Formats: sequence, structure tokens, C-alpha cells
Amino acid sequence: MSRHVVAAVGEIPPGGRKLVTIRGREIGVFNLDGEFFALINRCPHQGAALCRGEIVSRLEAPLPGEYRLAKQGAMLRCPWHCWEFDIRTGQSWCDPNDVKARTYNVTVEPGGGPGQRALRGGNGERLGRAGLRGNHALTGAGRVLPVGHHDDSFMDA
Amino acid sequence: MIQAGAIDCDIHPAVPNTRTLLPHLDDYWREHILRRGLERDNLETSAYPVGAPINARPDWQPAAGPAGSSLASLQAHILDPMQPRAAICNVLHGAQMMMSEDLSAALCRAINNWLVAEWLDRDPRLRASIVVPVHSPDLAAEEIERMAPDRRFVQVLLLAMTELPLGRRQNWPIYRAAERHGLPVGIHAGSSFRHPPSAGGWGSFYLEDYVSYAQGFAAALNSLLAEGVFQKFPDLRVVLIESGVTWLPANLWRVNKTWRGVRAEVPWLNRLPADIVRARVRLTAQPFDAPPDAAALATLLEQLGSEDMLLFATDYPHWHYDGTEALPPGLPAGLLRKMLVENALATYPRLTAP
Amino acid sequence: MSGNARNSCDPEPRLKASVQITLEHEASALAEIERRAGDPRFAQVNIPPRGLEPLGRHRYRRILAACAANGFPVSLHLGGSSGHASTGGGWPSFYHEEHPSYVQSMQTLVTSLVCEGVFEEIPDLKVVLVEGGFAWLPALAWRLDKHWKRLRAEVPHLRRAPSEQIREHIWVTTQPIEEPERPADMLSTIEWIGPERVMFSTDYPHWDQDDPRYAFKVRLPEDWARLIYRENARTLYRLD
Repeated sequence: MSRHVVAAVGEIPPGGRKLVTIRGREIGVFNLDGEFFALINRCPHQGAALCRGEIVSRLEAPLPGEYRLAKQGAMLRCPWHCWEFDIRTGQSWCDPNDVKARTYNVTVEPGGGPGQRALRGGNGERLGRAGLRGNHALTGAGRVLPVGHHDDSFMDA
Repeated sequence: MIQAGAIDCDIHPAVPNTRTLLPHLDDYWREHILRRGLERDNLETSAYPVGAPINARPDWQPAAGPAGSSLASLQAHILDPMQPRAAICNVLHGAQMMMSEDLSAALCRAINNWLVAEWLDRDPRLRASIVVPVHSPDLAAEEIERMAPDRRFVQVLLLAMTELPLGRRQNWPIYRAAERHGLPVGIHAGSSFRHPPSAGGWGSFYLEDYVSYAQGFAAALNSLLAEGVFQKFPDLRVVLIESGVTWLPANLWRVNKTWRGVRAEVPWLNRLPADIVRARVRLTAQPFDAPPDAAALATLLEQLGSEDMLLFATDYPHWHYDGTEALPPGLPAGLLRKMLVENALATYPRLTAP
Repeated sequence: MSGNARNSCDPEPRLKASVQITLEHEASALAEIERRAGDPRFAQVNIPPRGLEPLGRHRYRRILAACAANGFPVSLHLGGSSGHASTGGGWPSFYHEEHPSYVQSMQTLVTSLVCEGVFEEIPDLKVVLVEGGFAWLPALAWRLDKHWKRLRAEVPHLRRAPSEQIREHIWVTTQPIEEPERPADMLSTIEWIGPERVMFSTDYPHWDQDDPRYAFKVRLPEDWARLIYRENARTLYRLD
């Protein structure tokens, strides 16, 4: 398990994002209405820089013509093939159970200088065929939290 | 040889000539047709030219009239030797696609009346699809309402390529009526020739036309999916009739992929298109554009991904096979059993509860 | 056109261009093909598949013959605006239907080239299908074969089975690559088409482009990969 400070809270306003690099791996940290989420910057489909995609709303329709804009700004749309991913869970809209972008836990903790708080993320899982194994971390400038396991085997299979 | 008790999901009784329909027209339209001399025109659809070899197997030609026009011949060629439990009559006729909507509807009514009197009443094994004016959804829905009480009508008959893509909302009255009466919509190969088979233009030969019907089915299916017909009408089933079948897997891959990228344009399409198709769409397996070898056929059947989808059909009197070899060789026994009986019973509720 | 070669190929010799022609103006098309013949910057002649009439019709035959005579494969790159509806059932409502309908125009052209006997008349003609995917091609060949047998009296000029002609004369580019539900089905698809007829393409910079590292969701046999990523194009376009 490894934990890293990735940003000061004020760096990422609501609706904003920050791309950080940890041991050569890019991760996007997103602020959705004051909650923070982190996703790997790699689309499980063809490897595009997912976290550079547009932040879009969930467009849904229970029936033809009954348009509903649900969850404003909750989805990330891959810049290549427009696959949509839920920023909170990494799940793709179309195949939520089978196609997911890897996620990382992010927490807000006191840190940095007096009166400042820092975002920390971490990851304790294996990597795919890139060949890295063992613990790695979201680095920023300091402390880190453990995270759960998220699978991106779609790409690695 | 097909075992007795199979269900033949596509046979084509032919209207011998327009005069035959005169007694089945109402007074107004009989007068209209006689005054214009239309009874001298047989109104065959160009999608199935009488003289094309594919549309009339030589040994199924009756002594007089177009192939498929004689009940006695149908009995001798199919019903008596094969002893099907049921055979579904799909009449292909210019009435379905005439430019005048009211004339089209009037002739379709006459065809349905003729089907009852000359076919359904005369052989208890026969069932039929309701022939409707495909370009006039409201009139088509009226005709569905008129014929639906006769439970020997088990389906509504449309064509793959008409004026508007089949999923368009203008067509929904047809689906609403079909769903209400538990009638699947059978989409038959063919075109009303308002458009060439693709943006690539009009070909030169009937062979091109016939081959293009498969791409017409692909477009029709994509339209039904994209417009949300399967969501709007959750009990509606669709049968693709005489499509050739083997074009489907690659088309599903393509549509699945398109969906993952642009599904937000059609947000009601909220399931993998291939899953919707497997749950709601059936295909008659005549013709079956089979690959040349058994291994490829096996792969292809796996790609279809469901044993519930294929329905047996002879496509009588169209000429896709000789003798009694109405099934593509190499189909596994389990699939065959489902194709011959079970799948049809599951598709057409009216076959089990007449 | 000349700008194509001057602006792209001259500063970057790894780029090759397609000769653009106006299919409906035979004299100018023939002149342009001849003008570009022998210019190594031009690899092929491009014809958009959505034309007024399918490409096999007689009125286009001299242009196709000129392509073959001058050593140019013909690429059918998705495009054109014939005025015809994009599907045989009319104009669709959504891009969701329009995108798959590109395939249908390609199918029309393959059907037309085969049925009109173009490949029998111009044995050197090579046709490349670009940006229409390719997994649909085997089923079309099976369908053509089956119904040609029944309807061959109508096309007596066809002496060889459609599938043979397709296998010999048609190349496909991969993008937008089909993604079979079972990834291994990509292998049977390529086998049915012939690995020596499949060429990788990215479609840069379109939204539906394919990345060479990830486009195939299944590992290709090494000899196939070599053909698909490199050798087939080198041979077809005589890049050496």
C-alpha cells in the first residue's frame, strides 16, 4: 500500500481536474461537487488519455424522446471513441460490469502548512501487463492512503 | 427429410391475377379498379419478378398461373409430404407498396379476405401474416385491428426497405397494434424501390438486388434499434424473413461498437444492441447463406450466440434448394429441434393458443 | 491533386497520396490518372463509394481500366454524396444508423464490381476498401456465391465464383475495426478474408480511429501481424 499527497484541495475546484504522474503512471484527480475521485489516465478500450476527455453529464431516456439530463458533469468521455465512464466508479456507461477504468481512493487530510489540507490517494494493487507489480503510489508531496482493488483486465486480457 | 410436425415459417401463396381479388374488394374499390382497367395488371412486386429462377422452383410450377398460386400444388409439394404442424403464408404483392395509400389499403384488405377464403378456410394447417399498406401506418394499423380477431393470422407483414426506415416514429402505429394483439412483425426481404439499396446507387441486375436485401435488413434492424422501438414496445417481437442470416453477426459487432461511442445520441438504447436482438429478433433460415465448410458454419452459429433465433422455413415456392433438402447441412441436432418447432412456438403465441 | 503531394509528401517522404478524381467527368479523370502515373508519391486512385451509380456500371469502366493500366489500386474511401438515401429504406434519423450504413455502400460496390464482371474484364484491377470495416465481407461473398449459382443466367459474363473474385481482387483496411463479442472471432474473420488481403489503418485523425497497439483485441499470429501491419501494403503499393 502506498499513499501520496497529490494536490492541495484548492488546486482542483468543483468540476475541475488535475493530472498527476506517479512512478510514470498518469492519474486524473477530479472534484465533483466537493468530492474527489481519481481514475487512471488510460481508457480500457484502446489506451487513450481518458482523463483528458470531456466531462459530460449523464444523458438518459427511459423511453424514446423522454430525454433526461441526469447527474450533471458526472461522466468522463474518452477523447478517442467517446466511451463514457462514471468518474465516481470508473464504470463505463455501456458495460458497467465488464469495462471499467481503474479508480483510486482519494481522501482529504490535514497537511501541508498550517491550516492547509491535502488530497491523498493511493493504490496497493497489481498492475497489468505493463509489468509493474507490488505497491505503487500516487505521489505528490507526502502521505498516502491505502486503496481498494479495481480491475482493468479488459485491456490486459 | 423434415420430420412431420415442423412449423414452416415462410411460404408464399401468390395472387394468381388481380381479377381474383375482385370479389374480395368492397364495392367502391372494385368499381375504381374496373374503371381504370387495373384488373388487367397483376401488380407483381419487382422485388420478386415472376420469371426470376430464384422465385419459382421448376418442379413447383403449377400447370397454370404463377408459382405459389395453387393451393392444390402447395399441398402436393409441401403440406402433404412434409406434414407440417403449421405453415405461415406471407403474400408478397404490389398492393403493399402502391403510391396511392387508399388504393394500397383497399387491395391489402382484399388480399387478406382472399387469404381467408381461398387458403386458411381450405387447409387447417395454414396460418397467415396480415398484409398491410406499408407506407400508411394508420391504415396498416386499421387493417391489423380488422384482421386480428381471426387467430389464424399470426403476424404482421412488412418489407425491409420502404419509404422510411422502419424504426421511424411514423411507423409506430403498426407496432402498437401488433404488440396489442400479440402479433410479431415479420419483415420480409424486399423493397418498395423508393430508394436504391444503399447510397451507392441502383445496380444493373436482379442478382445485385437480391443480394442487397441483406444490407436492407441490416439497415432496418439498425433503425429499429436506434429509434428505440424495442424499448417503446416491450412485448413486440420481430422476425426477419428470407434475410440470408449469416450477415447478422458482423452487423451486430458493428452496431455494438457504434453504440459504445455514440449511444448518448439515442439514450433510450440502454442495452447492448446484440442482447436486444437476441432477445427480440428471430430469423427464418431460408435461404441460409452458409459458408462453404462445416467449421466455418459452426463458428458462425456460435457467433449468432443463441439457439432461439432461427426458424425453419421452406420459402415455398422460391428456389433455394432441390428435393427435400430444406435445411442447410451441418446444423447440430439440438439447434435443429429448436428451429423446426420450439422456436416458432415461442415466437408466435397464436400458434399455441389458437 | 498536386497540393496533396506537394504539401504532404514532399516534406515527409513516408507519406503517399491518393489521386483524387471526378468520377462523373471521364475525360478529366483519365487525364488526371495518366498525369500521376509513375509519380512515386501517388499510391492509388481514390473513388468515393457513394456515387451516382455503383462503380461496376459500364460508364465507369474506362476509368477503372486506366487505374489498372497505370498500376494504381483503386481505393474506395468512405465518402461522396450521391443524393441517394444512405439506406435502402430511406434516410435514417441518427448518426448511430448513418455510421453502420457506410458498410452498406461498400457492399453495394463490391456486389456491383463482381456482378458486372469488372474483375473478369480487368484482371489487373485491385480494389481497396477503406474505412468501412471488413468483418462483413465473408458473409457477402457467401451470399453472392449462393445466389449467383441460381441466377447466373442473368450474368453469363461471370465465369468465376464471386468469392474467388473477391479473394483475388479486394483488399480491406481495418479501421473502424470490428470488435467481435468473442475477440478470437477476429481470427476466423481474417482467415475467411485472407490475411494477405488485410491492411492496418488508423484513420488519423478521425474520432473513430484505431490505435495500432490496441485495435486488435486478440493476438495475431506473427506472420499475420507482419502481413497486416506492413507487408501487404508494401506489396500492393510497391513501396520498395
